[in-house]
Amino acid sequence: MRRKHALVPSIAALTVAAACATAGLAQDRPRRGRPLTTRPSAPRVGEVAPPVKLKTLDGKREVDLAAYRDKRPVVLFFGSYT
Amino acid sequence: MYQTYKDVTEFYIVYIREAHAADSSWPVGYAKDMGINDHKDYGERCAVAKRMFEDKKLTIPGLIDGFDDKVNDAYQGWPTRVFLIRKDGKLGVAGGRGPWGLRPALKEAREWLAEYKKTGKEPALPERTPDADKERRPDSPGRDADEGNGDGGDK
Repeated sequence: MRRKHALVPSIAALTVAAACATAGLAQDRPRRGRPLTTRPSAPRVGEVAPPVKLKTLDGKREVDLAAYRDKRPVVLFFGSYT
Repeated sequence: MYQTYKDVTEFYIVYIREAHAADSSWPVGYAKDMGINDHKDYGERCAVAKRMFEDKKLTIPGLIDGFDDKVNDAYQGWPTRVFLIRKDGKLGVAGGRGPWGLRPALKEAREWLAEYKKTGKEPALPERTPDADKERRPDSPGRDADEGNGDGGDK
């Protein structure tokens, strides 16, 4: 009887650990570092595009998409090697 | 798309955090072979970005997200996503996440650009209904299920 009671917290702890591990995998697939996002959803059609001010591939120039306002549309492809 | 519409539109590939790095919980085989890991700093991010553009012979101009992932966070671009920003700064196309969202978004962007190039006018934004927010489905984690091929679509 005493042994059975001792198992209860162990099973509960394992269940919690499994749930945490599953949640962690779903939210942050790249294992190291920071969470992937803090926003609940991506921006939508009709919304003002979030600001983009980033360095070019060669690092020599910074592009601010605000410079294209009222001049040209901009297409952005987000991606990585893998 | 880039070759056809670059005369009337700016195009950028925004290089962001790796989707299936060798040391991630969902690595792709070639990431292990090539030693592509989750970037440890901005310098490594820049190096992998340059390698990607060279290896894939990409001609579209590239931008590199900061190591704080600020732009990726704002757009939720990871693992891959397409947006078209109108001249007024509003989004004309906002694709879904991952390869599943990529192809419909590319089609939508092509149609948008074709009309723009033909008429010189930007396609009108869809009218928002009071229930539009309710009808819109949030990004479901289940849509990640197709992110494993890492093909990056036909960008």
